[in-house]
Amino acid sequence: MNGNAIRVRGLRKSFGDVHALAGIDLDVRAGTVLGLLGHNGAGKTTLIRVLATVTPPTAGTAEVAGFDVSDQGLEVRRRIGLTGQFAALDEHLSGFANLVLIARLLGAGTGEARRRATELVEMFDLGDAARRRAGTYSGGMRRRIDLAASLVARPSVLFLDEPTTGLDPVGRQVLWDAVRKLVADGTTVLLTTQYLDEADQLADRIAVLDGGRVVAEGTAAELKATTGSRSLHITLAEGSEPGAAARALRDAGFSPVADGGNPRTVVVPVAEAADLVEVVRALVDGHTDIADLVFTEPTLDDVYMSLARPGTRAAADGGKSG
Amino acid sequence: MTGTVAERDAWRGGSTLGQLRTLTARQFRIVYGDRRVAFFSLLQPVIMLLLFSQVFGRMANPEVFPRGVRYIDYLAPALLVTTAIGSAQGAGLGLVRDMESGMVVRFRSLPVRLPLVLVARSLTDLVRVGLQMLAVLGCALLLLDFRPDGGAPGVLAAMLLSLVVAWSLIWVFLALGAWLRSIEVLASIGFLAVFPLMFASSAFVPLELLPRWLRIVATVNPLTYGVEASRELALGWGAGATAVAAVAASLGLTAVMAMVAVAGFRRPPGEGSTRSARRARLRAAARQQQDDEQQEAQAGQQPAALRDAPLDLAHRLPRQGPDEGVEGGPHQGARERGGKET
Repeated sequence: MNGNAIRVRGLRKSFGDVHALAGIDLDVRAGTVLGLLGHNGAGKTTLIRVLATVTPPTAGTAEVAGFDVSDQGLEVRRRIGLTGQFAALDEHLSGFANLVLIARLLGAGTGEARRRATELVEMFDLGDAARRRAGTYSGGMRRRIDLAASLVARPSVLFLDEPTTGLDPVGRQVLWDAVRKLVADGTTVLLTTQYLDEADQLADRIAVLDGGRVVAEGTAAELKATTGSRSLHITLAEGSEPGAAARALRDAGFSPVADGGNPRTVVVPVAEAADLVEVVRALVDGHTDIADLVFTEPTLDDVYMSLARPGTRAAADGGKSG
Repeated sequence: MTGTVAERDAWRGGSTLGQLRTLTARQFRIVYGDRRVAFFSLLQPVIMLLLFSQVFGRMANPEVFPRGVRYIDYLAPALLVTTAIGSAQGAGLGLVRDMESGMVVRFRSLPVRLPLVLVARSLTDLVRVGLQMLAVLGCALLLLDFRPDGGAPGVLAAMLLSLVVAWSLIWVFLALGAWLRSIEVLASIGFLAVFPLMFASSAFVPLELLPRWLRIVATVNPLTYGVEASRELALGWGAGATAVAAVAASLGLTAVMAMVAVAGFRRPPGEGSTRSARRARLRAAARQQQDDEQQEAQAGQQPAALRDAPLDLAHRLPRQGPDEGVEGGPHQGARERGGKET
């Protein structure tokens, strides 16, 4: 399969007067991973549900694996796997029986279905636990069985809606490895996440969703570049006033920013390493004592914070006018 | 990836019959997977039979009953029909639970014919009702000296008729479940429906003994006719004209309710047209907004010193058109989040 596995044009989805998707354009090349970043309510789940034909779009078109989600839903469903935010398992059945159930629904014979279930149980290292009732599983177990369930059909396009939310680090690693293996076999993956390292690790391209729109799209490197610069994280010594430091830096032509985590830290975006000298001089001239100074490359966190959090925008507005 | 493509083409959705079999087997495992639940569901109608026959049996003067039948002979055929209501309600509740578990979302993303999920459910519950009826009959015959004049063929016919009635009631509750999508609402409707339908009928006493207004209610209660038909067959009264009418009415109701249920079930999740679903979404949106504001308040406390400083945060703004962005703030986000993830 060449070209785009997912093609979205002008996609809208409204629930009454609530516009969950307000015009989305998106392409995902076959055999790649697109990471969808966004805060809760940005429209990630709605987008996934529309693409997985669970919910029809209000307007616009979307093609998945070459088929239109509105007109050729059955063909789309034959080629996709979906792992939702809330594990969709039959709690009364064992994990193994859940996998067999789905294989049987897809048309596999009893023997084939059991073989495929066994394969997936091994792939996800589920072991004996797969024989227990799904209702007794821990969060991590449920997630893994749920992902396994979406893979029964060997889908060519896989939708993962926050697949690692609630997983411990080991569980995440197992899941990431599984996704990488699938992509190596040619599967296209659309993954929503709130974890930036996850997008950084897995995604070939990243789209940032906000208010039902794609507000930025590109590779991780491209997105990091849009935040402009590398930055200096300066932690001030006791007795130095952050406000005064910020004023001194502004007078020197820099644009300091508050660090969300530490009230004593000022973040200064800089164009090149040589600016370091200017920054330090400005601070020293402003009678500010520096306790610590770290030079950092932009992270996806910076991208996320700047693009996908309405709260930041409101705060930014307050800062600007105040 | 030539090899994998061939494999991928293998499973594209099973046949209708195959899917129905698989889905029905799944429902059976849910309903009978826990033996305790199965046991108590069988016990329930038996208890009803024992209680009613013992509490009212002594009081019941054969002369007030048509043709002077004994109370147990009057009661048992009626209980075959009334047993169906409880199970039908259970079918609706089970469907809603399935929809809430996310399992239905999974089915929607698979090449599964959605109406089959409902058909499988109705068949499973029909079998459960059948077993309950057998328990009632067994107990009545063995313990309570149930000796209907219709004999074995009459009792068998009464049971078949009751199953037809039960199937239509199951579809009524599946339709309610598929549209209301709320366990609470369905349970309260169930309570309201079950008791009046059962008692404002000729199931336990002849219509003539009811107060006038209740007799009117019982006369329009469709269950009365199911009860009468079952009684006619089991006790060998009449030629079965009531039974034919009851079967026809039940099949008609089944057809209509099945269409209603499928239409309701096909509606995508999160798009309940009912007011309660809409209110629930709005509540969720409001909660989310509160959470956001709290988070912001907490986040705002720490870097107070810097927030007050005239920092230039403009570069953090998203590159967006002038029509949106800053002013939208948290409220805009909250509105947008309203409809999703429900």
